[in-house]
Amino acid sequence: MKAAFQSCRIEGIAAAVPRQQVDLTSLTDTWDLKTIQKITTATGITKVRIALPSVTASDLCFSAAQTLIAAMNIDAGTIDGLVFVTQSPDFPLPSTGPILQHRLGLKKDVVTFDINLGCSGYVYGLLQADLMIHSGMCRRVLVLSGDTITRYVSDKDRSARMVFGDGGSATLVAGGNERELFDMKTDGSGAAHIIVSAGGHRRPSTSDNTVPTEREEGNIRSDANLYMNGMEVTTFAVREIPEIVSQLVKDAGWTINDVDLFALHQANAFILGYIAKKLRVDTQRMPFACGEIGNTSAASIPVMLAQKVGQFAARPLSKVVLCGFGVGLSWGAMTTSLADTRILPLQEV
Amino acid sequence: MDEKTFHEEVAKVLLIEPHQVSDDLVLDEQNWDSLAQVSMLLVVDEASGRKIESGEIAGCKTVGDLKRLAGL
Repeated sequence: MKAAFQSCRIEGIAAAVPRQQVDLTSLTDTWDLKTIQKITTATGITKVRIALPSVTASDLCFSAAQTLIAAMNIDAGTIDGLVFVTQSPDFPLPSTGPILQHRLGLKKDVVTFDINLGCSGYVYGLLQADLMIHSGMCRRVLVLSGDTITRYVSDKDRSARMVFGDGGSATLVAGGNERELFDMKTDGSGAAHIIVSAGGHRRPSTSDNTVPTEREEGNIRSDANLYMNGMEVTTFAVREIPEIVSQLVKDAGWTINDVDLFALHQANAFILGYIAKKLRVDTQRMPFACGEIGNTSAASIPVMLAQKVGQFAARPLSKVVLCGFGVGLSWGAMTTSLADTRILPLQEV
Repeated sequence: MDEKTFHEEVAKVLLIEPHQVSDDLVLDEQNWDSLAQVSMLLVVDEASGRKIESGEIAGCKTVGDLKRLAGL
């Protein structure tokens, strides 16, 4: 599903991660060191950030938003749209967007809602912002995307425990003149490949399905924990992402070599490395920067940008591809320019 | 991908030396967990030039099976 706009620009980006981190080599009570090292070598993830129990995804996004609004000297009264992208809302209801609207001191004359998406969610949030501005309804939209995804993860499931981290982000989108192309895709036949299968209305939590039991490869989790089929998800990513990215680059009238930065969802180094190889892009232009943070789901693209901002000084970032992919299955890519975008260094809270 | 390169890639995935790779090498006796299987899927994908299904990899018992899947 493709769309093109020339009505917006990304003004600023900030991201926040918890200060607390877990060094994966410390998990030797659960796995032997050789297994841990084999996995960390493949994924490129050696540490993951874990939010304190009292901290939610909205807290991390709030910190990033507050910092961004202050750093850019933005009048909060000019923000007339707020999109919160998360799979870790504060409550089953109400949605968290209104809570953030109030907490950030935004006016009441504002469009606010949540989007329940994970790793593709950042690009979906930016698409919504573009649509709201392009329609003339909004002039400045705050896209907050983040997750405390580790809350769903079993401590004894290596496929998730050694991959995911927590993070939040804030991105300001305003009226502008950047040409932005989007391509969004969905394949719900893969819904079971990344899933928390108990705890929703389809299958409420019960005393049975919340009991951890031994699953494939000795992983121990309950149905209320996150399950990820690594084989299926990796296969999906390495097949679909090179295709959507190369087609989008063509649609933009660019070549792969023209692109200054491929800012991809930071799934893990293994997946990004393979996508880079297929697209013949060096890792400088398609960085993986979350080796000491983990895969932060909806926050991972802005977290990477905030991590790498010091290294972007030498690059114009006028031709950038953003691409998210994962749970759903859902994936989306967009072209934009970040040449005039204020990207703040990563914040630890 | 030629046979020598394929053997080198298989060795990398199974965490053994290339000279240890033979057609009758039993995968279950090696480093053959889900991480190895997904890595192997990408190798066979590339060697065969087609999209291999995860079940096809899981169904392989020996290196010889992998080679047949890769069309070598």
